[in-house]
Amino acid sequence: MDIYSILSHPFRRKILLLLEKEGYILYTDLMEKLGLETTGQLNFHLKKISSLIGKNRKSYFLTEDGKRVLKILNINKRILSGENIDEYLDSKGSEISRIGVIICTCNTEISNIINIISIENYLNKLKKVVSVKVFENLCQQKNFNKITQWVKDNFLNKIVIAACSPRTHQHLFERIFDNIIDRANIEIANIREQCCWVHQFETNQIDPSLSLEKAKLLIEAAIERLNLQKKIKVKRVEIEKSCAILGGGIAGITLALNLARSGIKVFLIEKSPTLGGKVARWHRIHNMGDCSICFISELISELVNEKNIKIFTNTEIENVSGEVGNFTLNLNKKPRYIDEKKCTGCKQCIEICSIEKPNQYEFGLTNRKIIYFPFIHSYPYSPLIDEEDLNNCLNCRICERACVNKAIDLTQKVEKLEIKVGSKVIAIGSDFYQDLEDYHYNPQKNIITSAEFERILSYDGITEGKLLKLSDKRLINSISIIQEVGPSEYLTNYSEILAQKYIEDIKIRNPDCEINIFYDLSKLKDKNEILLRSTNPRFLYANKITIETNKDKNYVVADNIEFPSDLIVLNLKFIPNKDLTDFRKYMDFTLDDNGFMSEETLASGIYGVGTIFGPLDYNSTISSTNKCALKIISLLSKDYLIAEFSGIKIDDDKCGLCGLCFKICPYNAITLESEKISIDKFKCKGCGTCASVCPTSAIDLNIDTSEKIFATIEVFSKFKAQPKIIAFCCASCGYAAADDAGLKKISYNPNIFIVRVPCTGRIDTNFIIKSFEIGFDGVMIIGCRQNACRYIDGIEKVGNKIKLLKNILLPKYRDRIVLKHMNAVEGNMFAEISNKFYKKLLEEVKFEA
Amino acid sequence: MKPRVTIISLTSCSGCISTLISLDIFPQFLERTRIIFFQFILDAKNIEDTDIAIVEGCVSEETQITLLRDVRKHAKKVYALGTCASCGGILSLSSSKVADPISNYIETNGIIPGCPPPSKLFGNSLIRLVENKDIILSQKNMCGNCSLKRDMKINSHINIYKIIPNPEEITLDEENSECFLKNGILCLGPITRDGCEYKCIKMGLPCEGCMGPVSKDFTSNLINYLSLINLSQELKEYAGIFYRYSKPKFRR
Repeated sequence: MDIYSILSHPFRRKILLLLEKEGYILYTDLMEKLGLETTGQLNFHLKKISSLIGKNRKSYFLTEDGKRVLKILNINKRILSGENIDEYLDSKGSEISRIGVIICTCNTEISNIINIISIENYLNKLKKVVSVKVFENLCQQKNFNKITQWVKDNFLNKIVIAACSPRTHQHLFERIFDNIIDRANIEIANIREQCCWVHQFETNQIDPSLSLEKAKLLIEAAIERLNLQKKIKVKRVEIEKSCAILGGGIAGITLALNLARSGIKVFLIEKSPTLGGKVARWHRIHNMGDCSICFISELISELVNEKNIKIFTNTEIENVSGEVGNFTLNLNKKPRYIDEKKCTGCKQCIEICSIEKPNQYEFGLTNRKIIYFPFIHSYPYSPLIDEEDLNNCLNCRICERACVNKAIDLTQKVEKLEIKVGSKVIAIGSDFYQDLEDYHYNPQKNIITSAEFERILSYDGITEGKLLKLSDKRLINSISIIQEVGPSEYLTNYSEILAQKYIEDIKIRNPDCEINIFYDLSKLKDKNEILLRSTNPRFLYANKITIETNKDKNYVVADNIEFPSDLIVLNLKFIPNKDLTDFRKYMDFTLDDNGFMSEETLASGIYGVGTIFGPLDYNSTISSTNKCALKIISLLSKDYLIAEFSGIKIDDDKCGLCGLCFKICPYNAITLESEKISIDKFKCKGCGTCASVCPTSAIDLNIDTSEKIFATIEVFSKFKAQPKIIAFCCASCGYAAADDAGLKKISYNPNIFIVRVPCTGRIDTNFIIKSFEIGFDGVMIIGCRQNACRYIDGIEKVGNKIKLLKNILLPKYRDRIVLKHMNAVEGNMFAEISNKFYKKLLEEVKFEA
Repeated sequence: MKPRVTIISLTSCSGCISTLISLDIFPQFLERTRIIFFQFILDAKNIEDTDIAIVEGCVSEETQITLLRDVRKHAKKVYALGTCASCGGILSLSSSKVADPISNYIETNGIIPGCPPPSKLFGNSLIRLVENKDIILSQKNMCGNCSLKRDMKINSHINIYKIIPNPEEITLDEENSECFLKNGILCLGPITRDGCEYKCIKMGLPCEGCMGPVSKDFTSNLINYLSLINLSQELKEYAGIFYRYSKPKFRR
């Protein structure tokens, strides 16, 4: 009879309770009292508890077994009350804790220094401890079965291991108890590296009784901490193994290929009617030789052959919902008015169409028909009619008749689609700077932008690759290129490369052409950087550049020197994509000072590639794309994500929305959503800086709770010798440095007690004040080296607090707070600082006495 | 059986007692309780057994500690009234005088915070005490319900250089007024317990923190908070803002 499975359901507990109260109950009464309408459920539960109940003339009663079970369980009325006690069961960890202590003697390393029997006796007297067991070598395979047997025999649910540092064997111990005890319920008391090995009598004349007492307190503190540990709810998110890429430019295409080849299903969504993005209209890419449309069309054909990729062109995002692993995208596929499957691309319809308008894919330099191809190598290879053009069209339907395959369907409507993906990537690229009035921009008067110049150089462009003036189609003999046209706040790293490329291309077409490249320093913020980068003698730097026109001839006037130019090219900067602001409605990120996307603020599961973070050249775009592909593959290679293990929890009843936490969070994991604070569980790394500033204690960590830290401090304050020092050490560096002192067996005084915090940013001013109040004479804070904090800037945050605290303390206390930066290998420094601090305090305490 | 009530005063301005006497429900309170020790209205000299003891003012002399212990011995429940009794109060600013909350010496069953306690909270608390219930205090800080909050976010660009606004800048027009932090004025709302009905803020003055902290202690909360914003140098060294209503125990 499995009593636990019987009692696991609230319904069955309720039935038992009712039977105990009433004695005999009829089946119908039972149904009524339980509020049931169908018999099936009741029958099922009655069958489950058949061993505890009997039936007599349609009435149910408790058997002797049942009465005995209830008697035993009666101790806890709450279990029997029959309410849904899931919540109660979750926190049973704190209410019923059966703590066992394992002491490892580490051969003789630990037992040589401290008296194990004395510790055992001390621990056995503690009320919270169920059982104490001493092992010789805990980390050896042969002991594992013995340990698990001991845990089962004593019904332990929490375990303190008094042995070496958690940094040495934590994972091993966690593996031993893998299926028996939750990870959060294993606490390691570091009595080897931070007690026995550093407080040896022989080397430094340290009172052995102090080492013993310290070991006792270290273990007791671990017991206290475990006693306060609540059960942690674990959230599991199944991952959809697919990825949506928004934007079919070069970054999107490369990424889609990378992901598809690693077996991830990819949805490539492009707003315009063709893939290829900006690069498809470039003449060629610097240092690559190949003309860009050639390799883009090659990439696209690879893309089309890939089974895992689904391409949506002419498609816009309507809405995005869900979280990492499970996003839902609602798409609007705009009508093309031409059935891609039927169309053969014969262009009959285009020839016959009679209305023309400027082609935006040639930057307005040439005209196109209403029904058109964006450019010659566009994908999908079928013409289209823009949705808005259909109203301006003559509606002659001549194209419909001209089409041999009957592919044209002018009645197409917007198609609504819904896709589910595990992650999404924003690759929508950037826009070009457009405010060109100062430069007298006019393609017909030979003042053009770099994008248009690419079309002139391009063999399929307006002049078929020849260097001809747009005004009169005469050969160009002098070209001026004005660099960095755009906002002055930032520089583009590709402008030199682009100018270099233009020089090469111009020289091929007309070796006699005069080329001058200008920088207008008055319009650049980082003048020095530009001057430092200067490499080419053709680059001219001027404090003021203007463009003047005189008798159909253009001049660039640089610092009062005139440069006559047949063609003036404005090398445009990228500016943030105008769609970014729209995207913010349904995706979680913020914009940086220049208006580009800020990478750190992207919510988890959302990535960005390409120029959305700022101007990039082709090669950097490709390498950043590959980097991003790795991130996505590693995310989607898992079957599920586990969240909320070491993160934080928020108590909404206490939260007053002051916003201190989202100010301090280094990862922007905390956001304000509809008058409620919410945490991105996958972004949160569990550093706990937010918990340290929360004025109402609404935020706390799941494992390193403030309650546990206070309990630890309180236990340590029982140490009898003076002066007492408390050292808050960050888990990654400070604690490791203390361990390192142990490994090197560098002796320091046992009066120093080490409290492990996840990050020094976790340290609340209250911890320090409380330590002094409770009787500690000195507080040490050991964190990472500056600029090397694992959690970005935790050490600086605690530094700010301490600066303020020292300002208002009496001079006596100012020197009693020590903040030090250390590496994990600087054990000798840790010992040195501790000893120095100890000696200083010892003198002060003596003086006071 | 009417509950027996003892009300004693330690070092204080007696503002809380005046507020108590001027409460709407004070006559009702007198009717429903039996006051056995209240120096303002009774001549009783000795502390006797009592159900509820309400203590006003902070501890600053040895004799007061004896008195407090005596009260604790005779009372079933002891409540701290006002900021002085619950946190230390305005006397914490003094460098020579000791100002301790009563909880440093005896166990308390609850507090009625405020300097003086806001009448609504005070009245409700008294009624609950008479009905033998515990006092309910808000667990949140002020910002949540503050009318000036709107889309205010605390960030490092905030420079604080004043603790009160210039008199000519004070505006009573709630529609037009902005969060004090935006204008460089220190407001202690984020670290102060909600429940005072925003009297100061409605009068165009920033929160001074008289309701005390929700958790932790006043000084550490303030340091945590100020470490996140840019504070002008003279304010950093001005202990007045750090010890306005309470002082850590060890600073003596």
